[in-house]
Amino acid sequence: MTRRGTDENDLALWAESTLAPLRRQKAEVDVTSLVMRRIAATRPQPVASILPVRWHRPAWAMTLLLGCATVVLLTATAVVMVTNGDEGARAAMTLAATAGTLMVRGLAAAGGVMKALLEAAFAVGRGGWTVVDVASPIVRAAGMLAAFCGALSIGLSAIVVSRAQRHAPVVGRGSWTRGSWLPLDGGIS
Amino acid sequence: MAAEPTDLELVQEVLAGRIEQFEILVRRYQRLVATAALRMGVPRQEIEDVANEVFYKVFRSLHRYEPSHALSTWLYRITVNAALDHKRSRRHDAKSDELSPSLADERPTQDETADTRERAALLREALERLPDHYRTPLVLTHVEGLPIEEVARALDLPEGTVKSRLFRARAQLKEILRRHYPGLVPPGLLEASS
Repeated sequence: MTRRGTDENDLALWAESTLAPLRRQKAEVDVTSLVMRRIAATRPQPVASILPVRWHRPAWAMTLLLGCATVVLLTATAVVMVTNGDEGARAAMTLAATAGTLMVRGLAAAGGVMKALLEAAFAVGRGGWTVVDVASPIVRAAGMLAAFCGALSIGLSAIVVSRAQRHAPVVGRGSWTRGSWLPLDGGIS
Repeated sequence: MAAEPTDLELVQEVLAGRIEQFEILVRRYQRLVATAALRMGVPRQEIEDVANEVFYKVFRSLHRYEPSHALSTWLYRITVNAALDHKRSRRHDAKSDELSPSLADERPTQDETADTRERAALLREALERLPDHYRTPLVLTHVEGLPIEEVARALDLPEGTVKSRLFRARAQLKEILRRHYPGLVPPGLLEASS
């Protein structure tokens, strides 16, 4: 066994022996009822049924049948009212027809507005494209002129700077002080 | 006499909707959880709250339990986290700072002598000086008696990390005891291992 391994074992034995009093410590609690009550309190409670369990299926079947019968009854009543020329039914049908007509006309109007907007946008776009098409030679010439002027400017600047460097006075390094960008003697030595 | 249901059987029954079976699990493990919480530094008078919280968390996350590991390992994990959370929340409690928790909560039990109680209280105080990530593997290994692989599983750490933390934790504890609690070191062991 290596020296490090021996040290580790010694240290482990030391810890085992030193912590022995903690191993004798025990805690006794009874949280069963607390935990179970807490769980019960947080679980969703099922809705209590007023019917016994054996009646649940027939109750569902009856509910479904009654629902279907109600739909049939309502439909039959409406058909009878319409066929017999009932005033209320006629008024309701007139109202429904008016609402339908209004909806159709409203949708048609909205469609017309959309179409007009799209046409206008298309016309503006086409006009813009024509302007760009016509103006492109002028823009190209202006660009070339600007490039030429730029090149000329760079050339002139280079000449001016080189001439200035040739005729500029020599600056003495000793006349500069720490922390200052300007020489104390004006830069002439 | 009917055989006791296994942990796994009970877990499956609870998950199937027989909630009352969870009570058997609580009865079976409440002593383990309470003792582990005490040894992790939870004051005696607050162990009931921590155990309650642990079992409630266990119930709520029972569907995440992996049967390949022992239920006790999973319980250790949840208990350790609950004890650390409890400790963190106590740090913000101004009242708790007035009295050291490890010394204030000692109520004698029948099998504890006064000397053992005092030594245990001082040891817990010394352990409190270790960082959480060193104290936890130390307690689980040397106080709870778990093997390294179970400690690694309980803390969700690689075994190598647990070993290195254990090594550092022992060294730090030894230094703390040597400096602040020289009377706690078993005679002969300090010189032998220094």
